[in-house]
Amino acid sequence: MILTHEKGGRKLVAHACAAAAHAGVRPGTDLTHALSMLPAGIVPHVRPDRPARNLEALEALARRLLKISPLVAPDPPDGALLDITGTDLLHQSEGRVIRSITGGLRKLGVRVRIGAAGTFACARALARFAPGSIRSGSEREALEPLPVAALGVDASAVSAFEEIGILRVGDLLALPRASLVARFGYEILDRLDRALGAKPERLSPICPPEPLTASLLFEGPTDHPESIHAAAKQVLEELAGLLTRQEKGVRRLELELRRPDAPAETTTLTLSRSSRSIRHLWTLLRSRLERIDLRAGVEGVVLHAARTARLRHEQMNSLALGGSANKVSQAAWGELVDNLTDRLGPARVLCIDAAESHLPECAWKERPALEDPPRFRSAVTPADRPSRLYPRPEPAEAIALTPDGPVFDLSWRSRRWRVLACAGPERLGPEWWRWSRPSHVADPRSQRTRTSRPMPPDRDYFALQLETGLWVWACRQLRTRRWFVHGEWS
Amino acid sequence: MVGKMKSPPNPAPAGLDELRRLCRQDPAEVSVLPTGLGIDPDLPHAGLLRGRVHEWLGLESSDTAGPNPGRFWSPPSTLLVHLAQAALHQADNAQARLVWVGREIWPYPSVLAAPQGNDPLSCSLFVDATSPAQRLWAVDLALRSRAAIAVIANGAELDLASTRRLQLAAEASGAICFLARPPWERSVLSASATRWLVQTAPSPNRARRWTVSLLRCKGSHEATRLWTLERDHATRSFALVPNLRDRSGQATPAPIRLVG
Repeated sequence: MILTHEKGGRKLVAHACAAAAHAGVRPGTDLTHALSMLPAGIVPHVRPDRPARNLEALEALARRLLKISPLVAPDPPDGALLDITGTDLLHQSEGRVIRSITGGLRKLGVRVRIGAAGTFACARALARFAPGSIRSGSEREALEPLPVAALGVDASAVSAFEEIGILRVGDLLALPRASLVARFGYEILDRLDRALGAKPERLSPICPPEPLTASLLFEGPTDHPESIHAAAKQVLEELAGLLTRQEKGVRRLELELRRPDAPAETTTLTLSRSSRSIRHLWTLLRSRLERIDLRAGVEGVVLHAARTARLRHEQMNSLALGGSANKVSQAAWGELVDNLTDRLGPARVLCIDAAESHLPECAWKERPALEDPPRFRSAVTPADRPSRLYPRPEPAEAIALTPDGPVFDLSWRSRRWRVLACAGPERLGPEWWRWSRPSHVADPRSQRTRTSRPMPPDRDYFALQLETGLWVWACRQLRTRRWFVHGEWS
Repeated sequence: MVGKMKSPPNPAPAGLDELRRLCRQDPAEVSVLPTGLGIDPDLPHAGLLRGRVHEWLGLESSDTAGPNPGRFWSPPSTLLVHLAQAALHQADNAQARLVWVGREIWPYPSVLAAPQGNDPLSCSLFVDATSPAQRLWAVDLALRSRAAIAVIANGAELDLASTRRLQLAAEASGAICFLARPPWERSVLSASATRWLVQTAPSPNRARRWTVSLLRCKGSHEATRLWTLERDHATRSFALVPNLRDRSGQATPAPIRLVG
């Protein structure tokens, strides 16, 4: 894996993976040169380097470390700083804390080197040049043998120090401070002081996400529906405030009613689109509350936004002034779907999608409107199809002059109908991919995945105009020669 | 002058005007949905009024002696799909949606799916409400939500009070409501703006034909009107079949001219 960046029209290696680095690829090598260094037969993944993405990934990694310590700061380009003061009490020893960090990150495929010290700058230097843990207060001794680069100064400063024979931090510490400032500026002094703990470190730590939970606990259990409703509404308003502050809307809301001496009563609301409208959420919540048996008493109401999505703030403007009618009707649509689903159940508020089948009864499948639409849309046959398809084909009998010829007479729904016009046949075979092939060419592998039931016969469909002018869609099963009426153009 | 303004000089004529305006249902103030069926010039408002309930009586196909006898009916799905599409296409809002309430009147999805453009199927929500009370609730909610441009519902067994409630809901949001009803409910009272009867008609060619009769229309005192419509599958459009008994509108055949 090689990440590249462009410089003066050339592609240079920005980062290389361990395998590439082993072959001699270094950051700054020309890409063509780097590829020629790799062993024959290996084709590396070459991607442009995107520093913003690297930073995002580092932040995500730092976020995971929040479970070790409450204070975590990403340290670009490739580090993270953790304040583990006091966590050894929880993990019994500092060694265990470090092991749990290493183990957790190794599971993600990240190789880690850890340094632990009394200051962040010293720990950072140790992690890069001499991984290990030192006592607080012994930073000076630990830093002295390390190269100057360990202080985090840039490469030009390092080479400047090398020219005058200063290779280690110890050499630097031996120089008088005033001459250091005169020659190299305040920065190097600042870094030294921070590493030794003489100056505080400035961090930009990751803020743990605020839990989207609101609750109200009573002083004693109550079974008054009015009080519980009022409490639920208050909690909902509080949660909506939290959501507004974070510019989020809720997709799944969990309501928990705490009970004395009993497990809490929980119920979950799922919404078709994210919302933080108190009016809408309260409509749904109230209908849920009404269905809960409150006789055992309730000690508290807790609302938790289990799934949220970003929901932007909107300008308060009226439709007459060119407000977004689309957004208003989208929100109204989401509320309609939620209200219908809440009362009728998700299986009865549906959208219909095309399915990959040419059989009329399998060509469409229903999907609860709460679920997201499928990513791929199946093709729709443009053939003339009836406007209604019967839930199950109705048996009929037909009279035709020749087996494939036009139908003259149809007996259906205990009546004989004269047929005025007949169009067809349109032959529809079964879905060949569902059925095993005939036994003499059977593939034993396919037998396992496909159903082994015998293949149903082909059907011939005819559009028939009955004497009343009604067109029906009748079909004949080829093998059994039975007739059915499957639909109508009503 | 100000004192005069405070008390209206003659309140009675103003109220009368209001009443007259309400009775007349001025088409300039109420939005009209052109049906695209070729019958618009004959209708009082040159189309169907939005914000109203329109009832469409379907086709009876009862089975008296079969293995599962019963009174069956077919909703006029083809016409309802056409009207729903017309409502969708004339909406100025790209987010316009349709709601179909009652599984009995859901059309087969193929007739809703358009190969390109604004696909009515993807704009449709299907609600499987069974009992009349549930259907009434669902239609009322959909009409009042302002999210649906048209609600097409199974209106079987809805009484006068129910249709009045739907009429009020439709008026509140301006959405149009089509109720499909069985043909034997022809004499049931309702608050709908129009009531139509749809029947299939035999055709000499292979086209599909329907006769559509306007049984009742609020604000019009004309007798029952009857039209024969023919559907072209290729263009998905309806055309009016000229009434053979009424030859007055037909062009006279051109005189024969020969060239030797």
